[in-house]
Amino acid sequence: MSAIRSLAVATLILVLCGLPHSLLAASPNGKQQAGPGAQADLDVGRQAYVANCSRCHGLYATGGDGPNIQRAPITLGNDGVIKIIKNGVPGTMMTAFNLDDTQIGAIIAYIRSLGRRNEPPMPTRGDKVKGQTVYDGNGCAGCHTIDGQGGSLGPELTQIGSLRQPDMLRQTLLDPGNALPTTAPNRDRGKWVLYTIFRAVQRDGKVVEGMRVSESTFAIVLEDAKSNFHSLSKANLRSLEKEPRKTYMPSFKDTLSAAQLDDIVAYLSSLRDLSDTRNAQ
Amino acid sequence: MKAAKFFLSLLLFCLCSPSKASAQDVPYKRLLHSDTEPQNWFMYGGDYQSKRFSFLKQITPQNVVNLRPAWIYQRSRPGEMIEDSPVVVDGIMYIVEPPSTVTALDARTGLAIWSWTPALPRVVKVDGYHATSRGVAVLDDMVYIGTIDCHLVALDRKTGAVRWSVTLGDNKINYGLTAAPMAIDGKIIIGPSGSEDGVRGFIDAYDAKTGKRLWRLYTVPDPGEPGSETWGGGQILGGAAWNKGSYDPELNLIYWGTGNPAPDYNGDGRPGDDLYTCSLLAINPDTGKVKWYFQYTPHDTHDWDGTQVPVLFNASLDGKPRKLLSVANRNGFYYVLDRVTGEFVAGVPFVKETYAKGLDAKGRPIVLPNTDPGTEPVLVYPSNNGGVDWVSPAYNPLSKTFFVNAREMGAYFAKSKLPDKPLVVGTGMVMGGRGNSYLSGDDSYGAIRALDVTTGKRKWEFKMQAPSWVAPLATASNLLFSADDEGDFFALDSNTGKVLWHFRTGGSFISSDTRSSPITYEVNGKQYVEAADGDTFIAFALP
Repeated sequence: MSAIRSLAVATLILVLCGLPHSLLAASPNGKQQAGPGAQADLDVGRQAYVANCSRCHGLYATGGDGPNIQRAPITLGNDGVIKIIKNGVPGTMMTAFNLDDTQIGAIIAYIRSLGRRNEPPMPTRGDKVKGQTVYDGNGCAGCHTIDGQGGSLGPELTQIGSLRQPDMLRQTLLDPGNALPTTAPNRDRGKWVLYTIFRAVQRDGKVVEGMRVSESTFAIVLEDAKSNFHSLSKANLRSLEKEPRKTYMPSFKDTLSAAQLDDIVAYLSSLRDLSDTRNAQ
Repeated sequence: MKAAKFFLSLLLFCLCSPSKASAQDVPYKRLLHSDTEPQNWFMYGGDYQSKRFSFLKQITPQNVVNLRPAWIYQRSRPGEMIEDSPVVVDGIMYIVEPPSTVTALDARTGLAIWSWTPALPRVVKVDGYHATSRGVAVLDDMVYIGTIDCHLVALDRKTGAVRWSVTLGDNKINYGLTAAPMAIDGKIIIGPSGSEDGVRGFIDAYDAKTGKRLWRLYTVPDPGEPGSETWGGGQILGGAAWNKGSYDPELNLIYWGTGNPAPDYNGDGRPGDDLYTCSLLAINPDTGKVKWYFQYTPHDTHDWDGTQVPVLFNASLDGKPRKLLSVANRNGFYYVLDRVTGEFVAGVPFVKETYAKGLDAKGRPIVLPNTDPGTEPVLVYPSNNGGVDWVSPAYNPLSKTFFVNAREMGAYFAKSKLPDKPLVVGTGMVMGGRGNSYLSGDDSYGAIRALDVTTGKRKWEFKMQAPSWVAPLATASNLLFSADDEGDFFALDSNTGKVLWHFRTGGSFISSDTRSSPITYEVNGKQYVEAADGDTFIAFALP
């Protein structure tokens, strides 16, 4: 797969699966890994990145209007990234930037500090084989798909280990309503929280509750807990309220032991299939 | 008797067949009196006052529910989203397909009559703006288009053949034309885009017949010229006048807005007000000289261009008749100015405003602390796209109501270190930072707002799912047309804001898909309303 195609696929995966804001907020900025000198460089890089690149590529290089570029320094090399920043990419919104070499170097260092997605899984305390048993035994497949098997109410998890860090997966299992994924940020519209549950009361008093699948000024489409879609005209609603923090995913805070939690996190972290399966024989 | 009959016939011919004659020609006089021909939509803003208002009354609040698509024209080439506001003259519609293709359509059927596409260079520089044109101008037997590679081209109105073409600026350093030109008596006036690379803004006037340049007005001074002292000795860059202006033929003044200084988000290198950026200029179109100026946003660091189209109107204030203009500006304030003198009359925020707590007696923003972009992002309302961006307002002179498509959105603003060396214009974007609109979509929205034209006081609002990029269109039958960002084209009662009709043209939940400016016209006694979504032009009519 070419570098560009890899980037495109990675971006597509992110757009489809969403990346939780809290994960973004928790993304490493180099503080844990770098020494004091390196830290100063990363701060400079972060400022330059935020100011120049984040509008299109997202605050953490995971993409927005522009592609995910977390792995760009790895796939293109420093020289490749420098060339793109200095010259732009003709025919795209990526224009040439008037930055000096120090700033560009700091930006690349910062992006490299973010690029964790395709590296070996971070060590986890659990046992992934046992974790699969926990997954199978707690009804997770009723809502989630892995390798083509499972339900569709929640996000597909086939590549979840590549998309989210173990700490984030743990947080989602314990407090899912506080870890809803979002769409990629959009310059004009911001980013939208996916799987947000709405409660709609129709003029006849009938109540429909479901996750927002799509919405416009005049209509909203909700998917209820049984995966039925409801197309509602806003003109026919008495009220339409968001139910913050509510989610169809239960918390496993009181149902899994600490060891089971470690195991299922280890299992989910091991799901890192980034291959393009569309053309697989 | 015979002679009398002949003269009577001649008189009758002259009185009864203006359409025959006018089909050949669109003299300045017809543009000047556009209100007397509501069947035509002569120019970008509808008329010289930029009211986006029509006296057509066939479509009413009572029957608008029956509005149906009459035809759809699909763009002939891929590219940026359509941002065009078409012109309609005598049954012919002139549209722009992005970036700079002019197509003449039969306005009754949508059938293409001719189409002209410029030979563009393989790579066109469009740093900081979209590769799309927002419309054409017509005068006499020609149609005028500003191309994305910065040429002003006159086309034969009947065939699309090129009559003349001039280059305004070098596209290699980021000059490009996205605005609709203005046609007045014998002159075509237009200004280019490009401030994001630091180009020096200007407004040009050309002889409509020959393309000879009549004057050029630079919007920012050379070092040593008046106004240069407001740049603190720094590089004087930007001020591109990239949208269209309005025209008062009696005062013989055109009113034209100017864009942001460069770099956009870091003003450290240009301490001072940075004249005449983010300003409105009142210009004598015969000489290109500025009669007065009004700066909306001194020392802008939020990319709040002052290029919004002003609406010209007359009103009585304190018992005195006044010639006024109003602007809903990107910085979030609604301004009323005396258009004879430039005096500030009134100003209030029309969106959530955290940059300034108000305007002082002269209309200068009273800026709040911690609103300048920081090395860490600072949240400011409105966003870098502003309370409104380039999208025009509408004005109903019968109800004295100003309509604006307001953007309720904030953004995180951050600045970056400036290069140590002076900027070489055209070598790339010199934003000096960024304004990131990363607030949750659910925390932002758009709204059509109806304001009292002299005070800015809100009469009503119609909320939309997301901030939208579609101009309102007002009619004498008390309708207001516009569209939301998801591609729903709608009609409101312009007295109340109540939704009367809507039609889904396309678009999606998570992306911005519609950026047009609807118009209305009449052919063979039937009124049409035209709206473009991202990829198609649609004309609606009653069955």
